[in-house]
Amino acid sequence: MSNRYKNDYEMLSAYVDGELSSDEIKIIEQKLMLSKELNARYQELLQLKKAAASSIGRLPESPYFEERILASLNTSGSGHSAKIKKYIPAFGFTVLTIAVMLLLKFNPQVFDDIYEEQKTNIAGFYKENLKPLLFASDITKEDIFNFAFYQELPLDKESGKFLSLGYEDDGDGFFEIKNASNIIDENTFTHFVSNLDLTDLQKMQMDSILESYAEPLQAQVLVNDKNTVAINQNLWNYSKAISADLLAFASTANNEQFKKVYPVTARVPNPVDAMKLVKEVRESR
Amino acid sequence: MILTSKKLIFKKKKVELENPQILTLDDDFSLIKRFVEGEETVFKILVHRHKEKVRNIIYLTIGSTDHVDDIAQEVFLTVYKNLSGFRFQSQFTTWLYRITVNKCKDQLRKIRIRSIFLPIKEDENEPGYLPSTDSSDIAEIVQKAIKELPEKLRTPLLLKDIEGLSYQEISEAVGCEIGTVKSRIFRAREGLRNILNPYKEELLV
Repeated sequence: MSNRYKNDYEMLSAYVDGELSSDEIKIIEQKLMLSKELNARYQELLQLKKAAASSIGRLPESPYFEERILASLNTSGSGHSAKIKKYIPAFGFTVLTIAVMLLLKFNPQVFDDIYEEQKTNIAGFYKENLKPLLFASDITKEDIFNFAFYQELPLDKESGKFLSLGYEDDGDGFFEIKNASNIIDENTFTHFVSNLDLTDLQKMQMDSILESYAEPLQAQVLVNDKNTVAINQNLWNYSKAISADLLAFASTANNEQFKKVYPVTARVPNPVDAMKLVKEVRESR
Repeated sequence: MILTSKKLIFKKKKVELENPQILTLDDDFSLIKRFVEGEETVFKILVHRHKEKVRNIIYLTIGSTDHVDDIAQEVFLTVYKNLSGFRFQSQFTTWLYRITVNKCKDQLRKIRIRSIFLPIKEDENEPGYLPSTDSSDIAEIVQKAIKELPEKLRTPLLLKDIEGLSYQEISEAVGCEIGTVKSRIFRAREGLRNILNPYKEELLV
């Protein structure tokens, strides 16, 4: 469609709508008299306008619309009450801010206190009904010896559950519950004692050292009825303390044999340091 | 020169007499003035005067009977809240139709966004324009053809051909120049002409 025709047709469309000025009407009517094509288009436009107008159904009236509006205005409020409602959130926020500021001014520790209280509550929730998972009578000397040197403690011998302690690269301790033991030799302590060639008295002393740790170890691993297992952080220190205690005793009891059993490169604590460590661990909770 | 100036003055007075600016008790400006002065009950009269025009504009613009009364309610609530600030610089209907078309645009935007998240409907009975009282097939075909037009062409065409608004009123409602309205209505008719070309014979009956 050329621009000239497009302009004529656009003008014709406005003519059909009665939207032309008197000068434009004169121009288009002259053109209509001279052009059959334009006349045909004019007839088409009239038909289209009529068809469009009659093609769409009219919307039925809504007799109760005013009542609906008034009801809505009454519900949403009007005038002063509407203005008050509009500012309620801002007012509330301001009051709240001022209240928090005053609270912090007169009681700066309030949020720390709430935080600590919540922390205690959460800890209390998990600590509730905590009971020892291990029983001192079930912990054998072999178990304690293995715990000291291999950081492994049997939790449930029947189902083969073992607690294994370890250290991350950054030195932090971690624990995991394993389904099988890493220790192949079941009699490590028996072999250790026999290799040291101890007297009966010394053997009894060695047994007594190990047995003295059964009860404290029992209190280190707890479980509640929600199956939450709690491990005392001191458990890692107990492992160190027991091994230091045993090594110190063994080196004093039969140093010659001990050097054969225990590698020279390994660091053996002197009895005083070992006693100090054991005391610290036993006293800490 | 003196005579001419007298003549001019006389003519001006004559014009004033021919077009007196007398407010009747129920015209829009009088009603708004009464509302601003505190007579809030006149708002009901304003609603009564314009509700059907507003509802029809909504119906034609969104192309469906759904939500017409809800949108119309929003329109009048907006009018109610802002009526005290009305400046009397243009007709009340100019402002009213502008609000109406803007609310319709909001609704169309919501529908478009919703359609992104909803599965594609294959139901052909989805809400649309009501069927014409003219039960001929051609009325149905024309209605379908109108629906195929883009919204920016369809709305001015329907506001003109069905609601009978002037180009000036449409331009103020839609927020564009009169020339644009003229061009869009022309393009809408060209579009209809092309779609309906196969039914040319039936249309001319």
